[in-house]
Amino acid sequence: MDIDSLLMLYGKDVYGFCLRLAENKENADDLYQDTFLKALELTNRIDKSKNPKGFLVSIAVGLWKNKRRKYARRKRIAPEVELNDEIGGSIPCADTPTPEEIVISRERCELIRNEANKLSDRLRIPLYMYYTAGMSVEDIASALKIPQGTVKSRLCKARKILKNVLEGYVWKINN
Amino acid sequence: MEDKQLEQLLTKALSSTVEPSEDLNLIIKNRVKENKTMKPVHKRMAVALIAAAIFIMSGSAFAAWQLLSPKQVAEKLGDKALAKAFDSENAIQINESVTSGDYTFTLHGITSGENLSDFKSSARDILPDRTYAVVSIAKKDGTSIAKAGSEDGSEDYQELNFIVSPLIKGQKPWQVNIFTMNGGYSECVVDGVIYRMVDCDNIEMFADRGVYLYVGTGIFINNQTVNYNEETGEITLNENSKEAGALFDLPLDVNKADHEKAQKYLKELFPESSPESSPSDFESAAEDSSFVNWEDKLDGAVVIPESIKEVTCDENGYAYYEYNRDSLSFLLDSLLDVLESGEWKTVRISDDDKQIKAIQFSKDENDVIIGRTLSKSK
Repeated sequence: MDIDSLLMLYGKDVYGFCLRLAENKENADDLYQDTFLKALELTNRIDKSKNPKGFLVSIAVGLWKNKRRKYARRKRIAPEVELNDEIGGSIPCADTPTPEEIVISRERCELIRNEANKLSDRLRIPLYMYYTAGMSVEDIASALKIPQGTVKSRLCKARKILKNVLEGYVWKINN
Repeated sequence: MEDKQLEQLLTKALSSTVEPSEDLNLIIKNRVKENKTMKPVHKRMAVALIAAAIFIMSGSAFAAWQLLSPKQVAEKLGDKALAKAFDSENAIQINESVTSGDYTFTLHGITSGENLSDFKSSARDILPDRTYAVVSIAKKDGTSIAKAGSEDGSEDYQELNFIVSPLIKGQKPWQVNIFTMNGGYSECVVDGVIYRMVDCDNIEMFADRGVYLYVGTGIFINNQTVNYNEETGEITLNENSKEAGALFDLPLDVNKADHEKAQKYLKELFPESSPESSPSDFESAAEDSSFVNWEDKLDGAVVIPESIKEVTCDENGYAYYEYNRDSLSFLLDSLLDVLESGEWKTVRISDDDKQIKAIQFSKDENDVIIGRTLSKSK
C-alpha cells in the first residue's frame, strides 16, 4: 500500500489515537508524522491483509512511549471544543435537549476523558485502541502481542473504573 | 448504570472526529518522497532487543599499541559527524584499560550532546541529546578475537556476547542501564580487536551522582555480574561473577549535572502508579510495539530442540534462561503474570548478517516456566 492510500484509509483513526495519547495537537501532529514514517521505514510495503491500522497504532504506541520524555504535557485545546459540538449534535432528537442536559452530557464526557487519561498504560492503550481507533479485540491483541482474553480483561477493568467514576458523578448530580 | 448506556458514553467521549490537516498529510508525503531519493542511512539497532551491525576489516594479529582512537572508530563506522565530535573540546579522552578473564577492556573516550551523529534511528531522532562512548575488547594474550586462520573470523566472533552499559550510582543497575536508557550500539572488528560505540540518553545530568561504564562478557546486567549497595548506592563488580568485566568511573564534568532534570528523567523511567497497574519491565519489553514487526521476521524460524529448558531461579526472585551463550533474566513474578499457560511469548530477538534468533517463554499449568530459542537463517 502506498502512503496516499494509508493516509486516506487510516489517517483519521490513527490521528485521533495520537491525539488521545499525546494530549495536545502539536505533539499529536509530531507523533502522527513519525508513526507513518516509522511504519514505512520498518516495512517497505504494508500488506493490506495484515491489519495495517493495528500496525500503525502499535507503532504510535511505541514512539509515544519514547516521546513522552521529550515533550512536556499541555492542556488539551481545540479538539475538546470539537468533541463538545459533536456531543451536542448526537443526543437523540426525539426531544430537544435542554441546556442542562447538554451541560451534563459534556461534563460526563470530559470526566470520562480525564479519568481515562489517568489510567495506567496497560488499561488506557487498549481502551483508546478500541474506542478512539475503532479496533476490534482481535486487532488489539495482534497489535499488542497479547492474548485476546487479556485485551478483554483490560477493557473490562477500564470500563469498570470509569463506570464507578460516572456513577459517583451521577449520584452527585442527583443529590 | 446499564452497560449499554456506559458503552454509548464511552464511545461518545473517546471517539474523535478530529482529522489530520491537509498540510500535515502533505508534509508526510513529501518526507516519504525525500527518504526514497536519499541514499540509505546507516541504521542503528534496536534497544533491548539486541542487534549489532558488524563488519570485519581484517583478521590479523592484535597489537595493543595500535588501538584506534574514538575518532578513528567513528570514521570506520562511517559516522563523520561523530568523528568530529570526538575530536572536539567537549569529548573526554580516557584510554583506561582493565584486564579480566581472557579479555582486556579499554574505555577510549566519551562525548555528549545533541545531534552529534550522522546515523538516523528512532531513538536518535526523537531523543537527539545523547552520550556516546567508545570501548574496545581485545584478547588478553594479544591474539585476534576472531578465530585464527578463518577468512574473516566471523563465525567465532559472532558467538561472543558483550555488554557495554552506563550505570548510575544510586540506581539499581538492572533497572537503569543501556536497555532502559534508549541505548544502542555499532561495532566493528579491526586487527583482531572489537570496537564498540554505544550511545544512550545523555548521562551528563547525573554527573554529580557518580556514573560508571560497565563492559563485560554476557548479555545482561544482574546481581551475578555487579553488586549494588542499597545504602550507599555504590556499584561494584561481583568478584564471584563467571563473566569477565570491568567497571570504569566516568570523569564527567560535575558542572553539567542537573539534579532536577535527572529526577524528572528517573521519574519518567519509573512512573508512580499502583502495583497492580504498573507494568513490569518484562511486560514493557513484551508490549513495546516498536518491535511488533519483528514477529513477522520469525516466520519460518525453527525451534532448537536442545534449547528447550526450564528456567532457573535465584534467591532474589530472578529467573534465568541461558542457551549457547545467550542468556536472559527477568523477575520471576512479572514473568508469571504475563505468560499464558501453553502460549509462547517472544521476549528477545537478535538479528545479524547470518541469522535471526529469538528467545521465547511459556508456562505450564503448574507455573513452571520454560524457555526456548528459535533460529532462522537469512
